[in-house]
Amino acid sequence: MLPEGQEPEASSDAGVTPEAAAADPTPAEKPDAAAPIAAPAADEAAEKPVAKPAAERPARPAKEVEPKEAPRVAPPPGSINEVLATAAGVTLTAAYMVPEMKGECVAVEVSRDDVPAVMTAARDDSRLDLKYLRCLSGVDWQEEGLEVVYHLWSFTKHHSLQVKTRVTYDDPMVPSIATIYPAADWHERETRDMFGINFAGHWNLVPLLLPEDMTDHFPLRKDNPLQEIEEWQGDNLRDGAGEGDE
Amino acid sequence: MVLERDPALEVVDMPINMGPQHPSTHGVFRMVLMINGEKIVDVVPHIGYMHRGGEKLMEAMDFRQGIGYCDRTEYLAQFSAELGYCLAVERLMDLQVPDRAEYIRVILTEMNRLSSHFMFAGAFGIDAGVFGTSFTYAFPQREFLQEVFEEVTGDRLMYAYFRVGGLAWEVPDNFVQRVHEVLVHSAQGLKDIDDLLTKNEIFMARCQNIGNFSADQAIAYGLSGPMLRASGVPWDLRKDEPYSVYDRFNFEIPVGNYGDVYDRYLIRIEEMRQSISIIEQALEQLPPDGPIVPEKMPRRLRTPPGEVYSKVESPRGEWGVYLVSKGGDKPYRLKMRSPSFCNLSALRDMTVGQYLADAVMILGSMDIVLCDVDR
Amino acid sequence: MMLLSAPAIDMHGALASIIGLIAITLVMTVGVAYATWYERKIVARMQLRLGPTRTGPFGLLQPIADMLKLLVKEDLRPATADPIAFELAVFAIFVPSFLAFAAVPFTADWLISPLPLSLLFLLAISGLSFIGFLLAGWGSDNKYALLGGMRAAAQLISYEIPLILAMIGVVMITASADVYQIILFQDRIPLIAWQPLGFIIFLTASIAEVERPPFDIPTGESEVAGGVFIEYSGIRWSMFQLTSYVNMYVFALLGAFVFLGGWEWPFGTDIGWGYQLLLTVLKMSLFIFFYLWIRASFPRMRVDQLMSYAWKVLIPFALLQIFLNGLFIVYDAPGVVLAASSWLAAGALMYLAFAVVRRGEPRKPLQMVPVRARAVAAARSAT
Repeated sequence: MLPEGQEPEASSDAGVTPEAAAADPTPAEKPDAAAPIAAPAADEAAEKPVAKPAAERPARPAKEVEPKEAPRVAPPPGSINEVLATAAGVTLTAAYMVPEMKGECVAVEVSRDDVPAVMTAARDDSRLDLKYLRCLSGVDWQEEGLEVVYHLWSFTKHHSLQVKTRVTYDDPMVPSIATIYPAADWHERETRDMFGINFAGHWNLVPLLLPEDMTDHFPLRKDNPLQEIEEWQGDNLRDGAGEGDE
Repeated sequence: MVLERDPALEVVDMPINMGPQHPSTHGVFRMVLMINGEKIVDVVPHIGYMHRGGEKLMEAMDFRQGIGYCDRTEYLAQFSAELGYCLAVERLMDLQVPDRAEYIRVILTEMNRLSSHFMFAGAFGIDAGVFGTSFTYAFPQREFLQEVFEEVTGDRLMYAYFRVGGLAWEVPDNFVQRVHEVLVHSAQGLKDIDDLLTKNEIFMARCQNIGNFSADQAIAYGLSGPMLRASGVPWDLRKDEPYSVYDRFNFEIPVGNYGDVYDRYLIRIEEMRQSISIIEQALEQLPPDGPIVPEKMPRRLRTPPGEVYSKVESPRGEWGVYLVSKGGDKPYRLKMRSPSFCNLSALRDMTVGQYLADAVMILGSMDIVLCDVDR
Repeated sequence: MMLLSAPAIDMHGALASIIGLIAITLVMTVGVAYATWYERKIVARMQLRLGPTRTGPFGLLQPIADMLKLLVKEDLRPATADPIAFELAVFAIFVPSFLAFAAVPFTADWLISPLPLSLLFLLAISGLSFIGFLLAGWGSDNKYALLGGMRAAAQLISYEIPLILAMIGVVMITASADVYQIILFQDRIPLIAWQPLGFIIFLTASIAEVERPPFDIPTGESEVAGGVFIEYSGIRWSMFQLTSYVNMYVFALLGAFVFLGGWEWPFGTDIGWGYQLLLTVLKMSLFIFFYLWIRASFPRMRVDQLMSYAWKVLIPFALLQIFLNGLFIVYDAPGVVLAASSWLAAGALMYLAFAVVRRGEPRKPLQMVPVRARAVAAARSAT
């Protein structure tokens, strides 16, 4: 998912982890030394004589390093974020590229008070013409507050734009855009249900998916962990178990 | 729309509660209609009866487990839902899916579109008041399609067959032949339904000029799929933002002129014909053998931190997955942008001012899946 | 007065009528139960299904099983329902529809009560059922039931008019309002040949009167979820269902007698009563088959379309039929002229029925936006 133009920097980042630096002498038998419970695996491998000649074993990648986050890339000059800033008359907090299905699109961060102005400009400005609100989602970034992400799309210009805004836990309020984009109506209600973000100015901000009286508990916030579930997959699974080729 | 009332008479609007257990709400959906005689004055839709916190659950599942949950969300277009999810993860991980896997995905997804639209045609006929005939015409065809799905995936409903990077396993040896057989059945079933409903005078009278939505309205309300195309917006993700290998097929996107219920019906019927054509082309181009997972498939699905919004054209419209990852093997946040949810949000503005019987037709024409609405 | 006094003059006749009515009620109850079997089999055939197969040969015991099930089901009455209206409604619908059989001549000799105005009696008594629908709709204290009851009342009253007007045309031709005399009139040519327009109007209106699809809006499953029946269960519900089938029988018999010549045409009166009964049942079955056929293939009409169809299309055409008949009688025109004019008008009615539905300019077909493959050549070469 590395954006174009970032290849050298990203590849220089890869393999920085100390485990990877200490090159594993037997990669076929100890594929992931970085796993938390690598020791039992190593013991087992030691107890069991090599079942097959090493040559027959499928070649595995030497190291599965944790993929690194690509650094944020500023949009090329002349992108729609500049148009948006002038059209809305606001200062964008940040602008960068995010991956799309094919290629990338511009994401802008704005302060929450600027959201109606930005959205109106995005909808009405003929250079942007982002008439279609694709999706509106909330994201809980814990210490960094709550984020609302708007996905916009233009049928005429064939470009998309993400608008993001952050609010704090103490004052989770974002101006509603349901009058600008009617599509946002139910999305905002849902986001209020799940994250407790109040969309000021929404005409009917009553619970949509949750019961009518469930107004003090926001399930998708990270401080609501799921009940203790047994983890069957992922980090807690001893590496290689249950795959049948060991 | 405001109805005119005689000030001399005191006319009281009657609230009538349709659902959550009503034959034509297609699941557990409830709408409170305010009616004046037979005319609808106001509609308040209530959803959430099927809400299971799917997005929260998927935050606790790793990327492979999440595929199974997609089936349970969009239970009439499972492959589309799986595809949208897999595409999001693949985009974040920068995986290249092998050609054969892509073609099989397209074939199955389009067959799924057929089966979903058969379900629509059958249920819509019942909404219109046909005594089950449309249903019994549509369901044998759906059954044939499901038989193939079962042969391929081992399950009739919860397929969980797509994997991040490709497919779970190779299709059976007679897959191509079976698909060809089923396409013959589907074409026949499509003709049956077409003959039964499309030119039926009463059906036309019931469907035409109700629930009209202009293109501007449809865009503003975030409609997608056949609902949007019926309003005259020639927009299909398979055409405009082609994912998978959809840019390798010739097909046509039907677009309506009036934006009414009848156009939505016609578009779905036409889409089924196009799907059959796409499947035939895909079978022609399908590589006879080859890998179904990438060569350099990582043993564990770990995405780099980042975010992506992937979208596929499901039978109901744009099925989007907004995936935010902080690294690791689980999504940090996963939002399912379900087309049923967005389309249903326009229900109020479509039904107000129409007759009570039209509300049923309009709801039927949305072709919602309530699990998908509530997630 | 003649209508009421005729059967009540001698006690013997009255007793015989009562016994006959009881007998016909029992026979028709079973007969109607088998109408459901017939319906299920026919509709199943049309819907690529099998219908009942498990209970007895060809599922012939299915009606018995259904009846038993319905009889032992719990009979519920909502707490807020009006008890009198709720209970009375069943009988207000049930009794008139069975009373209609009192004036139905099944064969030349088999007639419970010879009424000189039996056609009028049949139409009047079958028009009573809307009171029961209103009672049931109001008494159930359910909004769907209320909607259904109101729809039923509006529909039954509206379609009564074209029905009766079509019958008036028949009465003008035959110069009798006795079904028996009307049957005797058709010894050579059934009335359908003379009155095709009246027949079409009768057929349409009778479907509406028995509330069969596509005119089943009072009970529309997908809209008002059963309408007036919604709060009824068990035996009461089965009485409603029974009544709707009995109504179907009555109108099928009426159509068979009035337009298809009953037991008279084509073999005359002299054949045995068994053959006459067979002929009657055969012609009745034709009508019932038609009702089922329509049911399996047509969507339901909307309430405004239903009303405008009755008042704007059917009633003017029924009046036209009466006008044509009047001309025929006054100027003593040859029968061919009447038949030809009626056929022409019937054609016009059929055309108008389509034209009214398709009012406005013809719809544009869907636009097809082509998507051209961009990478087919690459894909081909790759494979």
